[in-house]
Amino acid sequence: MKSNIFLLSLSTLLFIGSISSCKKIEGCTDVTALNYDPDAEVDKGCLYTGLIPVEIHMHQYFGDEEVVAGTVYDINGVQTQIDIAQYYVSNIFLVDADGTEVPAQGVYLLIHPEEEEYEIGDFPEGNYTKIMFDIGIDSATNHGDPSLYAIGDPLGAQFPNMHWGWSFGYIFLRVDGEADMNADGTPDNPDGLFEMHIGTDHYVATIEIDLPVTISASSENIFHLKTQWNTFFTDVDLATDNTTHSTDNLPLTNLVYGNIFDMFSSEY
Amino acid sequence: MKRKKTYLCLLLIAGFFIFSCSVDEELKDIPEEYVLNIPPGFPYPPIPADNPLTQAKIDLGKKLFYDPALSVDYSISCSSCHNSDLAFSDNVSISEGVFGGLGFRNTPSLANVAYYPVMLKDGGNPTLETQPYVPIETDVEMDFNMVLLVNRLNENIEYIDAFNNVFGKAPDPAGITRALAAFERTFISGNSAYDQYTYQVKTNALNDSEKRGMDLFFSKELNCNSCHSGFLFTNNTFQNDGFFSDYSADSGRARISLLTTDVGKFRVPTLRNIALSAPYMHDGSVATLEQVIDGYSLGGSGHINQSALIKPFTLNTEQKNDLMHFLSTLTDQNFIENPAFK
Repeated sequence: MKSNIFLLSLSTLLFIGSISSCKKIEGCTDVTALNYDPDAEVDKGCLYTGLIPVEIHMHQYFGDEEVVAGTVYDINGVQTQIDIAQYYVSNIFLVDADGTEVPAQGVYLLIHPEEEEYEIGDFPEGNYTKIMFDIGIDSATNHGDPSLYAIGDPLGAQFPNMHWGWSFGYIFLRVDGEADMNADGTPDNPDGLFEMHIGTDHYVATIEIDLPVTISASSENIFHLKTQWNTFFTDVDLATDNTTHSTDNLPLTNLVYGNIFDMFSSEY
Repeated sequence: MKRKKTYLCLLLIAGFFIFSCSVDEELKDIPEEYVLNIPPGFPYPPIPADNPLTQAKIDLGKKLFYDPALSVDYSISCSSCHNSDLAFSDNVSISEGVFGGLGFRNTPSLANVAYYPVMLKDGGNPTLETQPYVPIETDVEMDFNMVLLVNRLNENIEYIDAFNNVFGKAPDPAGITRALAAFERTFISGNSAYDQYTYQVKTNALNDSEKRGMDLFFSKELNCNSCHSGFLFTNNTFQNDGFFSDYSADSGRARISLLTTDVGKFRVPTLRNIALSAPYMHDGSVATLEQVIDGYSLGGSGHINQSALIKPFTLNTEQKNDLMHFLSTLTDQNFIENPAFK
């Protein structure tokens, strides 16, 4: 009798096992949702009551002009064509009036002048006073394998390239262009081609911007931010010292890295 | 009788359990794992869980390895610098990239890369799966871009079929890098005369001069094996060997770590197939093995980061010849003639 019960339990277990081995647990798989189920394997819908989708709009300027790739600018007296100007924004927090920091979960943005509007996820309604973000990527993600992301994902392979194979990690900020090296008043190609590629864990820049924004169902829920590219070039003489891949020209890297902290502000 | 029924019941349930769903979802498409042929004295190399070896994947990796479509102008392939006749190394100081571009480091042999804990002479790249980004995207190598390469391969029906067969999807960065890594993991070189003598107990595999050279190599005085140790003849540490006094052209490990204490440190290279991979040192600036030995005999430049293990030594002509003869016994003829690599 005992052994019969044992066999019955065993076969019941096997039977249940055979069902659960195919059937995935359903539930809400989004950690930011109110009904998040950590055991869920298949998303069956999430509840976000009180959560509002928020965007940042990144307006990019050189002086008073909007930045357009291929334009020639006067940078500290050197005629310079900017061909590529893009950077990663991650580790975004909105700070409310009480000082509570609300993170944007898993958001990595590749910001470039052609695109102004970026979604940063859903946030609780409320009055926010500040936005914080990193120019760069956290160390763990920075040294992950970009092949594991699809092409089109900000962390996937990019063209133009935003990743180094040789010092395995992302290029946090990339500016490529052509500078007037021979002082004839026009950018030189190929002699004046330059690259400023800032990356490695040493050069993550955390930015804090005071910007009161009310997030509610009836507001626009957008943080309007400004990127001043001329600030990035403060004290840079593009005719004489214009190329760095971070570790190969530390003085220039340190100079422009310092400038990164001053190049972002609220739009208004 | 009752017992028989119970067994039948169990059997049916077990059968149901096994066939309930796994056949369609999981078992059907798993190809047989490719098992590497490991020589005596070698351990089985680590295989990443996300990149098991299969024959079809290795074949695809080989096709990519030999395809100049990986370079921007279709002019060079991986094999242009990693020549299987030379144990996947090159015979020039600095290999030419596209448009005659020149980097600043000598091409390493890819023999036994499956065992390496990090990639590149400065350890700047972590795995065989991540390494392909370096040659593909470096301007003085293939000067191409992973996104553009994916687009290029997706215009080729042979690649589309092969990637679908191996990975169940069209060419993408994960597939390209994993197939290349799978092919490179098969580069196991462990059947040199030294291996036959040491691990296969063929006492006549080395002649007297080679045996004397081996004794010198492992001697306290020369101490070569303090760094060139183990079955790979490298301990894979980063060392400044004091061979040069100026490392401004290539700071080595410091390029990655930014530490001044790492200036001039490079990953100790394997000595397997060393006779095939001239010229020598990180920049290929030393033409012959004899010159390398002569250089080491001086005891180093005294660079501030020089390894304490580098000390001067004296060899007479016969001893030097013996040592060079021994180093030549690390050449694996079967490896360089292996048709699977051609």
